[in-house]
Amino acid sequence: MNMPRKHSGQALIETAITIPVLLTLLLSFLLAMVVAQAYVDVDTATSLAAAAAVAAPADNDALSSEFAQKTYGGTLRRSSYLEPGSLDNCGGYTAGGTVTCTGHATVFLSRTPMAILQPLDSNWHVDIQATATGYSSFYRSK
Amino acid sequence: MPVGPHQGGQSIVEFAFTIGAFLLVLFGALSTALYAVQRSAAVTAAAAGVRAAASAQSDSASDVDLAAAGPLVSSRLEPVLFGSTLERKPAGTPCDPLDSIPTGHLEVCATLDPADASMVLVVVRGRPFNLLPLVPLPWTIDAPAEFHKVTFQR
Repeated sequence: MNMPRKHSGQALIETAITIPVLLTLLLSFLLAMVVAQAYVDVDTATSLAAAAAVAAPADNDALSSEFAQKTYGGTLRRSSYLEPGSLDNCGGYTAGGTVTCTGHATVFLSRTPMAILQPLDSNWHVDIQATATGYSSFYRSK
Repeated sequence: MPVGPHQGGQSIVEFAFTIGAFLLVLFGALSTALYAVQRSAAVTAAAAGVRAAASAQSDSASDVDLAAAGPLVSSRLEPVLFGSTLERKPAGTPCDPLDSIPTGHLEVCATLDPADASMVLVVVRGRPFNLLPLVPLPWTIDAPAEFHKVTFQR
């Protein structure tokens, strides 16, 4: 018995719908993972920067800021897909006080496995920011 | 209407394609999730390790304690190694290049930053086992963390 023409076309359409949907799902998982990992990196670097800021002597804004900037940049600069941006409000505290830093970075998806989608947007990137607070001790860094 | 031999075979082929693609997505997502767990642990372990390594030694307030990083990183990372091994490099010894590290092996190393001796660098680097070889994704980990030296003086 020959296959009716209607059924033959139906199979093709089903496959044409199913495969792209499943591939989109897989790429979505990968994209979510890449962005989540980038956020973990930025959050960790910002936390370290806040801790470094309060490891400098108290009442020395310049040194505190330098400790934080070097820590933030040093932690992120080796990343192949993440470029560190500014680190705001990070540095300067009085003994027993706190420092709250906000770190910015950009994820360049063209440098990740998501590059296979690059033809859609050659400048595809995601901006990420994270905030962390460092708590200083009364008994350190006179 | 009875199904002819052509249509029966066609259904099997369609089912094979669909279930194959579905399993690929399912295992790909699982593999991605497991890798994300391992990499997140490596990043946070390196951060914890660098804070310990950047602190002063108990018997020398002006020297950093690079050897403190290894045990701390190991304790954080071992629960999520899933069969991979973790090697602690001696204090001050840099990690091997990623290309020369075999699959199933990770390294942790604590050094001073070669570009800036006031900074301590801890790196967790390697190639964990791909737990779902059905989806051969090239998972690698290269998680650095830097921290400014924390030393003391009288």
